[in-house]
Formats: sequence, C-alpha cells, structure tokens
Amino acid sequence: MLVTSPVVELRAPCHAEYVSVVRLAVLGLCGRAPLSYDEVEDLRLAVGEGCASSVQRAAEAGMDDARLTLRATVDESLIVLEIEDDVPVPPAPEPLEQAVMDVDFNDQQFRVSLMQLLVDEVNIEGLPGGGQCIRLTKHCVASDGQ
Amino acid sequence: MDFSVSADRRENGIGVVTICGEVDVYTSPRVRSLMLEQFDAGSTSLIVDLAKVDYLDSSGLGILVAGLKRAREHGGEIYLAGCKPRVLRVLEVTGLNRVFTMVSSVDEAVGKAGGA
Repeated sequence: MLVTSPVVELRAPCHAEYVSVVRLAVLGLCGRAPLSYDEVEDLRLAVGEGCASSVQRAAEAGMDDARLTLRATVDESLIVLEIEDDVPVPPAPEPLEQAVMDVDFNDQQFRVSLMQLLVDEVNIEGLPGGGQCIRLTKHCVASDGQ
Repeated sequence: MDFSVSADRRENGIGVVTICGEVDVYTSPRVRSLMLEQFDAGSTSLIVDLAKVDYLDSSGLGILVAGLKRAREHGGEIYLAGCKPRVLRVLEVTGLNRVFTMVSSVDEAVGKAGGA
C-alpha cells in the first residue's frame, strides 16, 4: 500500500534521444499505482507526446542547451505527471479542424489532442521567464478485488 | 528492444519496410529515410511490418501518413502489417486504422497488393 506520495523529478537534456529515458521512468513510476497495463501505456504515450512537443520546440528555437523535467506525483487515487521545459513558447496555433490526411502529425495541436485522448486532464501553461509546463492527470479507479 | 529498420523488395516490386523497437521522435527519421528510399527506388506501394514495434507516437504516425499520401498520389498503398495491440490502440484513437490498409502479416499484404 502506498502511504505517501513524494514528488519524483527527472531532469534531462531536451533532446530526442532522451525521450525514451523519460518514458521508461514513467513505466517504473506508474507501475506503483493501481492501473491496468493499458492505462500505464497510455500514460507513457502521453508523456512521450509531451516530451516530443518540448523537443520539437527546442529544435525549432535552435536551443541545444534546453532542459526537460519530468515531475511525477503518484498515489493510490491520482497520478500527476508534469513535463516542463525552458523553451520559449510560440503563439498558439489555430484549432485542429483539418481532414485527417491533411493533419501535420508533428503539429503541437495534434500532440495535445492525442494527450487529451489518453489521460483525464491536460493542462498547459506558460512559465514565467519562458518555457512551458504540460500537466497530465490520471485518476485511478481500482478494479474489483484491488 | 533495440531499434532497427530495414527494407527489401518483393518480386512484384512492392517494398517491405521492417521495423523493430520503438518509433518515436528520435527514431522516426530513420523510418522516413528508408521509406523514401523505397519510393525513390520505384515502389509505389509499401508494406510496413510493425509486428515487432512496441511503441508508436505521433512522430511515427506522421511518417506513415506522409508515406500514404505519397503512395496514393502514385496509385499505390501503404499496408500496415502485424500491428500489436498497443500500436493498434494508437491507430484507433486517432482514427487512422480506418485510413490505412491493415493486414495481419506481410504475406497477406503481398497477396492483397498482388491482386490489386
């Protein structure tokens, strides 16, 4: 049984090759929560999309020294995963209204839409001084017998 | 599982791209390069063997959709073969399972492509 819910942080360079490391951490962290295999995998994918968003923005801004932070709080009823970067945020794009074949799958809005399909809540906010924080929230509903 | 991607061509000229491991923002450019090589070598249709792919994100989806657009512009098709449940899940939540031709194996795709 989980008694406390400490905050766990992982910091990494905001480079594509580190996204898999962050995803692996999610697997370990969320494995402690009462979630099904599919729910954990959905969280892993959502975090991967959040990280990819940061990596893409860092690349577009030419920021080779950008940093990425995963901040996780996991307890029996709630999982909150924050993906934070220090990359300046460009103006918000137009809403996604195109036909599927015309969608730019590297578009930030598509990544957000996918995250929204995978977790209960997605909140995105700009950080003072630049950067962005994507907060993914997943409510845990224990299965029968758990 | 270490990432790898390879390609070959079947007798009917259809290209087969075989991917192992996780397709994400880091690895998807290698998939893109190999798919483009196959198109440039004359394949109008491609079979993408995903039987050993455990993870596919929007970067990978983007590569596949770009490939599908190119294939269809030239009268071809992209066949996604052997998708595992997790990959199928991503395709389903995005609706792309209805856009691609989904097959259970490379052999099935070869048969379909040959009869097309």
